[in-house]
Amino acid sequence: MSADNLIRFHRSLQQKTRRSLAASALFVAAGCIAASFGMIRLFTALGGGPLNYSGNTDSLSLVFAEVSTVLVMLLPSLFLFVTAYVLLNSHSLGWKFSSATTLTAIVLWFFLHIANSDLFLVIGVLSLLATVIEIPNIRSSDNEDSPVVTENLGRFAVTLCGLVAIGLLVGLLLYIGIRGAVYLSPTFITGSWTWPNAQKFLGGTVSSLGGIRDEIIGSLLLVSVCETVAIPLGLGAAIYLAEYSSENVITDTVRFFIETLAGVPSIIIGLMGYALFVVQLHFGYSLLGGGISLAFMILPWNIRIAEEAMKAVPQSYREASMALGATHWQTVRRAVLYASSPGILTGILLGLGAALGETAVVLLTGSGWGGTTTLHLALTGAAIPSLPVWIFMAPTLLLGGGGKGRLVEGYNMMLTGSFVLVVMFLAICAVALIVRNHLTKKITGK
Amino acid sequence: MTPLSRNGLTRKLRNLVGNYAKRFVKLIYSLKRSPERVPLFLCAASSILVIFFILYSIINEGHAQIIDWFEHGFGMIWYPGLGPYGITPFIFSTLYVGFGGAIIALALGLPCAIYLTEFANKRLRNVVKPALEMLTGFPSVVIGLVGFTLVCLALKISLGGDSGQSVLAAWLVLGVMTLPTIASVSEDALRSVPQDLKEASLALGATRWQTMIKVLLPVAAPGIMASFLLGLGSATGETMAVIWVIGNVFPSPPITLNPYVPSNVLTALIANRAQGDSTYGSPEWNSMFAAAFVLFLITAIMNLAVRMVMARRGKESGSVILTRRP
Repeated sequence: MSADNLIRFHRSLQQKTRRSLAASALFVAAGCIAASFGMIRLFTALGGGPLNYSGNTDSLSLVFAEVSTVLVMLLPSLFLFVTAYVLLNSHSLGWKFSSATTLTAIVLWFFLHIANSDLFLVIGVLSLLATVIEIPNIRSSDNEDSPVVTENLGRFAVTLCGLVAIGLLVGLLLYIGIRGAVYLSPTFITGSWTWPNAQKFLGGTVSSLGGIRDEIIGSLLLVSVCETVAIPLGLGAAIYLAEYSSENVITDTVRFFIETLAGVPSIIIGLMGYALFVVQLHFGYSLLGGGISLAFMILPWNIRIAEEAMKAVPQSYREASMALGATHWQTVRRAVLYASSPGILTGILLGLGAALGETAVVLLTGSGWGGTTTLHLALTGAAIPSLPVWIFMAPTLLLGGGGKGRLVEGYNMMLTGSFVLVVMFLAICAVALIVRNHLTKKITGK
Repeated sequence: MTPLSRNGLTRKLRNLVGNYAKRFVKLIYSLKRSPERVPLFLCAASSILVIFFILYSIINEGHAQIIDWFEHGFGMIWYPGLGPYGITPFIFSTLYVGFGGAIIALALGLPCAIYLTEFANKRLRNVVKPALEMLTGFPSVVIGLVGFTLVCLALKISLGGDSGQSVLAAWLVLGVMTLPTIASVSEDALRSVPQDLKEASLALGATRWQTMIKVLLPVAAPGIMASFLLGLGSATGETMAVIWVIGNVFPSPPITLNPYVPSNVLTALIANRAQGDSTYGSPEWNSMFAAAFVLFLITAIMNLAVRMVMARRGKESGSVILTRRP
């Protein structure tokens, strides 16, 4: 290579670098603008600025809503900064990123007729400019995606998404925890709750709302009836599928129906329960009907987890048992069930948690819409109060009950109810985990 | 016909009968040896009975309306209490809401699964993976309440509008709700890819990201597809999380691709109209059963798709335990 060529090459490299620098500077500017929009918003909101909303809001809701809005608004700026990094490091990826940003921003500006949509226009123009600057670099010799940049970007994006997903779930629990704790008191858990009293409370004539004791007990009763039906059926089915069935048409059919049942939406199971138990069998809304319908809902779940647990038991356990002269049934009972008990118990507990939080089925078969909340200890003939249904009835109570004066308190108390429900659910999950670890340790000796 | 072929036919017939007889005798013997087989089979067959109950009650109550829909079209307006009972807009927005929610969940859940399999440190994974499995059964009514008090409010603040109740809010809520299912099942799929495929790719000098994109993802694709379809099924059939945030529009939700409008879905329609101002056995109740039939068909198709995807999956993708929220 002659010196002349070398100089020309060096110059073109410099030019390319300069262009990349300019383009990425534009993106940094766009990112800063986007971020500042978010921050300005946050400060106006938290400083009690012009953001004043009527309706179902209070200061705590507003703070949560504002913070989540701002977090969402900061995401585009993050993406813009990433694009700036890419532009600096890889020409081939850079123009793809910047033109994609341009397109997205323009499309969003054009189609979203919302407040702040000018922001998208600004971003779109800036990124269009950057793309134009970057275009001569496309025809350069290094037009190949750099593996290092791809690796860094991929890792960054995946880590970000993973943390956002985990953060969303943690945020959900935190939100329930913080807002639910507002009204939590011993009387809220031990007291009893009536509609007239709640309406008086919302109207501002009484100071105490009462509690959700009956709902908690009712939910637990429903779940126990449900498990009384679901455990024997599910375990029997799982044993049959894992230990006794051979691969033939009948087994395939049974499996097909179990999978279909797993896919049936809970509201349809509720409707079926209504037609069968409430109407045909004249149970009315009842503990028995609700429990059995719930059992139908979690049955496939129980079967599947128990079957997988039994299939995971090593064949040598069965052979050893058979070699000692045990019958098939004895082998299943003493060897297979014992060895798979951690998995089976986890499945049962998870199903229990799911049944505890299920609303649609209980609404149509167990509790009904009437809002009856007194606990009657009868299997049939009396509606059973249930915690998730109580939470669900909130809008009916609040909007229909003339509770405009204390709407905020009303929502807080529904959130407190959900807090209690979530704590019960998480407690069941924790028990499931502990039982699994303990039993696995005991059985495998590790 | 020659005698030879007749002989062949008889032999075939005799073999056939003999086979069935042999199987029958075998069955009798196995029943005698282990009589517990019968009750166990009945337990397994109870699911068939439940499906039969469901279909029976749906068809028993809703057949007139179903026939009417198939003869005169599905109709555009569901006027509560009075009729007519048409569900075309409800079907549209059920699918629109379900797909949107599942796509959001996949967009977050798949990277989350990749992160947990390849890039997260072991301690974080050991905490997050069981937590995801547990959260698949999280009470949906609570997610709906959070959607109502937080997501709708945030949307109202940032996008304007009356209450923030919209398809967009339902997407976000369903996205969070199906996220654990999709992330956890995709993670299982990615993890069950045989280690030697990955090692071979790394040994050839591919980076971890290239290995992930070019080896792990294609091999685990059926499992990931199944996770998406599972999420889609539960998003489509979800009632309580949606009913808070969708807006419950009657009599005719808009058929539009604009996500920031209040709408209504089949599940919410059923839950709303089951409230009791029309009595059981009235035309509206029967139409609700017919709507349930349509919903059942939609979810059954999604379920069949899961089966087909998992049946076509190659041997090397290993086993994936499919759990979804019941």
